[in-house]
Amino acid sequence: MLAGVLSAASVFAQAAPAAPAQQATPAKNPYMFSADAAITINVIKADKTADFEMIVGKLKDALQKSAKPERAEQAASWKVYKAAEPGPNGSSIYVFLIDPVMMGSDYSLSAILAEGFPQDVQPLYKTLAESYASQTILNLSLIADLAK
Amino acid sequence: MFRRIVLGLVAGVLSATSVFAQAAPAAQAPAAPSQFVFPGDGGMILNFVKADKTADFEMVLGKVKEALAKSEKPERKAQAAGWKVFKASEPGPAGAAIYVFFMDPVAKGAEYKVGDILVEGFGAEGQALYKTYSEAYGTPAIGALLHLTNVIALGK
Repeated sequence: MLAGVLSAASVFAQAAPAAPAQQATPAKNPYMFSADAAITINVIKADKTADFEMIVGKLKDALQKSAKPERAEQAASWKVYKAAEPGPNGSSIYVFLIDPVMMGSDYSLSAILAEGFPQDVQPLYKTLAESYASQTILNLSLIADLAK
Repeated sequence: MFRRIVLGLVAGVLSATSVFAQAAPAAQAPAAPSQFVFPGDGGMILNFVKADKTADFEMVLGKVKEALAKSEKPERKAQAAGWKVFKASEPGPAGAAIYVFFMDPVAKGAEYKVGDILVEGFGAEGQALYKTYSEAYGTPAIGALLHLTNVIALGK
């Protein structure tokens, strides 16, 4: 288990909440990473892995066809893994490793998909959101590269 | 806004992946494959370290690096080549620090047991170092140990 743990780092994807009743202070974007590297641990519902992998493919397409140079830089250091170990309730665990992080860039999947597929972003994002059981984000400082 | 930040716990999440650093088996049992061998493309271990023991933990990791560098075994060099250690900005349980070991590529068939590497590199001193390392762990010691397969590299 990822034992009951990571305070302040968990993001649950879900349908859009109702608009706030009054203006709130904008929350810090958790997908603008603030350290050398970042991982997100994405727990995907058992019956939604094909959907999730389809979206990851779209993510790659969007990054590669973007005219923004930073999108190519983001793609260059962004890897997606699947864990052999199951998550809760038979879910699957996908790990995004971003190393190095491109400081100041937004790694939000929704923003990248919206740029790449402006006509289709709503259904794509709905599919993505419905695939998640949970997500944990960690901003990582490099302590040691054991090869150097 | 499609997301909600949850200030709380990722409660009981990754089943079947928790490993505690120590604990020898009580009775003879058929040898299970070591969790510290990664047969796929990569591996990741989330280590929870007591807040007041991070210096000890990092000191021992320096020794692990030294042991790998001076080893004459090719697999130790291969392990070092793909092994990075990160510290998370986010806190773990009870204020623990989270150290992430990320291995990619992995050295096929090699066991990533810190205790063995220390003893190989430093003999009896390695055992003392491992004691220091073990005592730095919080509760739980390891939050997740994942054997990873590449799905996609987004830049290729």
